[in-house]
Amino acid sequence: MRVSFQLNGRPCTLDLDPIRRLIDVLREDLDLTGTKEGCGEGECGACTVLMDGLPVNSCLVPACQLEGVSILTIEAVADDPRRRRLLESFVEEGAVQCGFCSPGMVLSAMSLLDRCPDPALEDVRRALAGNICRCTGYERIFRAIDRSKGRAP
Amino acid sequence: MMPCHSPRTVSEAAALLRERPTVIAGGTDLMVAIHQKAIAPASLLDVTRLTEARGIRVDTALDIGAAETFAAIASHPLVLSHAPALAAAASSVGSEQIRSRATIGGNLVTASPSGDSIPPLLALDATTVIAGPGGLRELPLAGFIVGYRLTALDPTEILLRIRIPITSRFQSFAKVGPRRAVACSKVSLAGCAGLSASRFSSVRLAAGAVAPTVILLEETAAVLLHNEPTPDLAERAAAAAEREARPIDDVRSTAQYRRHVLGRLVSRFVRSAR
Repeated sequence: MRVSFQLNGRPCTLDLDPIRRLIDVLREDLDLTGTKEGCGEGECGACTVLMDGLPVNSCLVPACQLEGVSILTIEAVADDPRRRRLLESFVEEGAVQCGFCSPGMVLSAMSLLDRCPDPALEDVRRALAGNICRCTGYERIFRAIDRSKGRAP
Repeated sequence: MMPCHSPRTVSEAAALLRERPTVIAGGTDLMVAIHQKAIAPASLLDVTRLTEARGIRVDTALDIGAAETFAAIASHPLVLSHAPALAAAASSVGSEQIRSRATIGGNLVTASPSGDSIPPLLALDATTVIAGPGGLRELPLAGFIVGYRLTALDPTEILLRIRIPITSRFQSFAKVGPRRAVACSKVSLAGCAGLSASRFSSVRLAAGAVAPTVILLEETAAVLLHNEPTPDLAERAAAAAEREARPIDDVRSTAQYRRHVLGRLVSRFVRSAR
């Protein structure tokens, strides 16, 4: 089926199997490999992208539900100078070790900061509860998000 | 390529349902099952664009579209004011990512004994509105879920809306799992109670993950009725709930643990009722 949606701010029209997973469309059809697949069951959050501004597990989104939506992936974060500050904070705080969870962590954090520019630690913990990291113990990730708050324009 | 339809109206959906497609809403359960090849749909019916399955409003009841997401329900002012137990359950589902997509209708149709929205809806005596070839019909939630992951829905029908009676009675929701997010509940409890002259004048308690379906704790409610919510009564109700539950040992927990925790949740409910 033919689906048209916004991908990282640009219109995108594709002919897709309705049941094809968004993560496969991104990684295999569009070569956007910044989005990672961890569990494939919606539990780890590694494949998180933003759909109409809200974090979703791209492994659970079928192509048939992409019509008319807006998708934002980690690739667009690096393109945007304002959002890039969040990435820089992750680097400066050492919030990245193996890096597999980082795209999802950044997008979940970005969605939170877009809706709530000055979140309390408890809000950050709750917003990231669906993103599993097996390296950092989360503390550096929380610090990175806290650090980026003061730098938002 | 498999056929997929996203009808905008119930009449379009009803016509498509004659072909018995696999119905998809938020896809948070279904997409996993499809990817793991547990099911192989021949065709899909996407209900998320169905106007009549969207929206949260109040008329004579709090009326929630089956395709509304838990993110929308958890933060909606009408849900927060009229059904705080449901708002609490909605905000406890999965993670941000799951709540952005998972729908209340999907949770009811999946009919898992650990479905988070079911205990509050059962405690609040919700009614389901079902659309099918013959039009609309209403069914109390207690009759909608008929067994383990089993509903009274015919394959040619879809769940359209959920109606919750307006009440000013005390209500609460609690769940216990291995962690606070992205974990199936080992035990959950929702309660709705009226108090008059410091005594329980009405009680509905619904417990999740302690039987093949979410169950109403009727014997426990009978222990509470007409009595004052004292610490002693809280313990008697807890003991009644432990007797009334029918939990099993499984990968998530033991029956003994579930019984014990259910008793504690019931005790906490009684002590907090006001």
